[in-house]
Amino acid sequence: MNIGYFWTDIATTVAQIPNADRFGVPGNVNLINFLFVLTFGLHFIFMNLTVGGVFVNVLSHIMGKDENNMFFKLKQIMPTINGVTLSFTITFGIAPLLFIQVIYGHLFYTVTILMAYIYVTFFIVLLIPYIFLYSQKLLKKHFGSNVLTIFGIITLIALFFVMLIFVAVSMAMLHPEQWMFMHEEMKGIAFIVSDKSFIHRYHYMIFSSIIGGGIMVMLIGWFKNFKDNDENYLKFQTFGGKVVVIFSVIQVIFGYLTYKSLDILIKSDFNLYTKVGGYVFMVSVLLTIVSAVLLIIFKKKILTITTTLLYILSIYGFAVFRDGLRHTYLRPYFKPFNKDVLTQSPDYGSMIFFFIVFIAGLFVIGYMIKIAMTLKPIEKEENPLERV
Amino acid sequence: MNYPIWDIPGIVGGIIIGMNAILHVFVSHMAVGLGLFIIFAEYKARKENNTAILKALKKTSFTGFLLFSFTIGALGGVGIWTTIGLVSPEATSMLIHNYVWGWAVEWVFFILEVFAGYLYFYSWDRVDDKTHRRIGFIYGASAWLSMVIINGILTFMLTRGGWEGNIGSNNFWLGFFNQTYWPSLLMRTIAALAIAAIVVSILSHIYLKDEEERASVIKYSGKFFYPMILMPVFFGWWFMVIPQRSRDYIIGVSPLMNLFFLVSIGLSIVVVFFAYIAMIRKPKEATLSSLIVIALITLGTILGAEFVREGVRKPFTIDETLYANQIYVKDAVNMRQKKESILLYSKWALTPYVTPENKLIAGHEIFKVECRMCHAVDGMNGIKGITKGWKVEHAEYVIENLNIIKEFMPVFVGTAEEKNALAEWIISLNKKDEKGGK
Repeated sequence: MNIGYFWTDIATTVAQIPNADRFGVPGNVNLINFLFVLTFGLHFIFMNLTVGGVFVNVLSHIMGKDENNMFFKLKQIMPTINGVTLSFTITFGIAPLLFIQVIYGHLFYTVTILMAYIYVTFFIVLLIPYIFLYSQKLLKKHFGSNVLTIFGIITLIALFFVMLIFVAVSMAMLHPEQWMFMHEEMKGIAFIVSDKSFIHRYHYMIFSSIIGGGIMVMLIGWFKNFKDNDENYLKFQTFGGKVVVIFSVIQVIFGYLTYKSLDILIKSDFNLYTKVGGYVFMVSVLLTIVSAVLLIIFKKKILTITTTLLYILSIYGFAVFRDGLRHTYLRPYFKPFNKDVLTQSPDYGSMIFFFIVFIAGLFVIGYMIKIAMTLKPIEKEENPLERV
Repeated sequence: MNYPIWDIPGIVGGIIIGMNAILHVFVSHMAVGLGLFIIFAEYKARKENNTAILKALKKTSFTGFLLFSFTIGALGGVGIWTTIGLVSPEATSMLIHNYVWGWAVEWVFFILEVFAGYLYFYSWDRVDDKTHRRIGFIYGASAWLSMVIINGILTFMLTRGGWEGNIGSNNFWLGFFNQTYWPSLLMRTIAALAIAAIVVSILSHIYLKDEEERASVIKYSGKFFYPMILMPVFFGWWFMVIPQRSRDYIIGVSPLMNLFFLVSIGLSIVVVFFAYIAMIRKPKEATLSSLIVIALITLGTILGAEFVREGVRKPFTIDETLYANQIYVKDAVNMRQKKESILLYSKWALTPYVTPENKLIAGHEIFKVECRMCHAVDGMNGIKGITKGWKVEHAEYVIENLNIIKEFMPVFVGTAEEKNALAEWIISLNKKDEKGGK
């Protein structure tokens, strides 16, 4: 099925789109858009660390039979780390979800209602990873290695499903011209996934997120090296580097396919903002690959840091590109930066209050990170569910 | 009506939100209460070298924070946001736009809470006592401050304070510190402490082997129930400042609201009495099942109170601003004066006009726009059951005078033809059965 057959014309579509919120925005739209991109990047980093981390978790359960094996150590720690990063993925996901509603709320609510039955399942499905990750951590004595591997696979599938929902929602948001059809048929997700570019986008999301697993293993190795001065953990870094290289190359392929599947009119309409995001993304992905290859060859610890920083830069390049792409798609229907379309009535008191709390929060987090970096080693691992 | 409608057969939107909210309210208050609890309890335990409390806190920090607050609690919060966006998009949008900086502040506190919660658990016996207490303080303060913020937004929905009907120009604070802000914050804090007390007692019962240690923790936890004595005072304060119509519902205009109010009051007395006996007077004899019963009664009290809080807002979702059916009061007043069409106002209605041929379809569309938020066709609060035996003329009269006959319902908006179409459609629901019966 080609979704193009169901397009309605621009005038009809514009009439159909709900009005933007009548109260407008209590701040500058550019500032809110900046906060959206900033927090979306953070959310994306943690999402990739989680999805990629669970991928490594499954791999380590399959390959970590021997106690001297690196994967054996990994399988001991990954369920805990996966649980923590999942919590932060959800927590960091709140802010972009908030800021996107401030600018694109009327579009966002409409598509989520049109896909309601599927969309509403995401937070229920998100319970599955928690259940199975905690089972891996707390009940490992009760289950064999194969069962624990299956727990990891189920977790990974649940996360892929949640990604599917969000890719579908964000894609449907860009196509108001198809909403009438979705409304009449109420088959939102089936309709969107039949679009040929959907599958490339979805694959792209999956493979790019697995790079996060490589980064996670590299960082574990770096941290252990830094803290315990244990050179054995250099293996972690080189293994992580390999994951980064392999999945970055796959990411480049699917990134290209996704780009190729974009409408020619969209591609010809990119503004400077979108282009800069795209270039930063492409260059930083290539440099990430180079840095990870150098890490594998020369085994220099510092290359873990450069690879990680370049990876973060690539995520922000992608976040900017994606944001620009959204503006380009929606340009015929909605121009959020036009004050006549979305009124701006800054509430300076509450805005300044937010920035004060935000900056103070960064200091408190810095203080807690400092404590976390200097924690004494665990003398004896306890089962937190055991009676004392 | 700006948005399409998520029409789930037999169910009303409020129930979807409510099912999610039941658990979330309990877990989120537990998270706040535990935060305050650990600040006091760890200070006492370190000072007196009370190993029983320390053991209980260690176990609580895993089960209470990691297993419940950061999983079910966090997902429940996201779930509420998701469901209110699907069911009441206009209200959600209004609250997001008016309070974006408030939500953003709450998000910062939430991040601090999660970070501190994990660190608190993973740093047991791995940092010095003072540092550990400091981490506990960061957790407790962030959790409580997130409540301080959310309370302003929730209470704004019932009493909008000095809010001037627009955003900007300091309207945030005018609406935030509204009439019910302080009594609600105090009541929520007290409830959070009581929930924490019962949760710590249950976890101590599960995790502590030694009977003496267990009893000492339960007895100490029981003291966190004491502030409940002040609950009637703060409730009285809240009751005095809510709108007159809301007071009337509680006193008896709405029998359901009255019932839930009485149940909530009754259960709160019972729970304080039980908690005093089981946790303070006879902690050694407190069994796990008795503590679970106290927890369930506490949950029942909260449910009753939350139901009343939600219910007394009617007919508005946001005080004097937005009706429960997502139509702005200003629009409704204007449209009613000018007898304007509701179908033309509704972007997603299947038909913009009433004609003799499409009367029933149009009537159903009007029902979706104006009534579906609180009434299913046949099921929860089903319009079919409510209107059994009615005639078209009677239905039209009720629709026209809806807000007068039932104070907690919004005004009807629409033309005379639309009113008739809605009445005809409603009556048609029972006609099929009547024909079948004959």
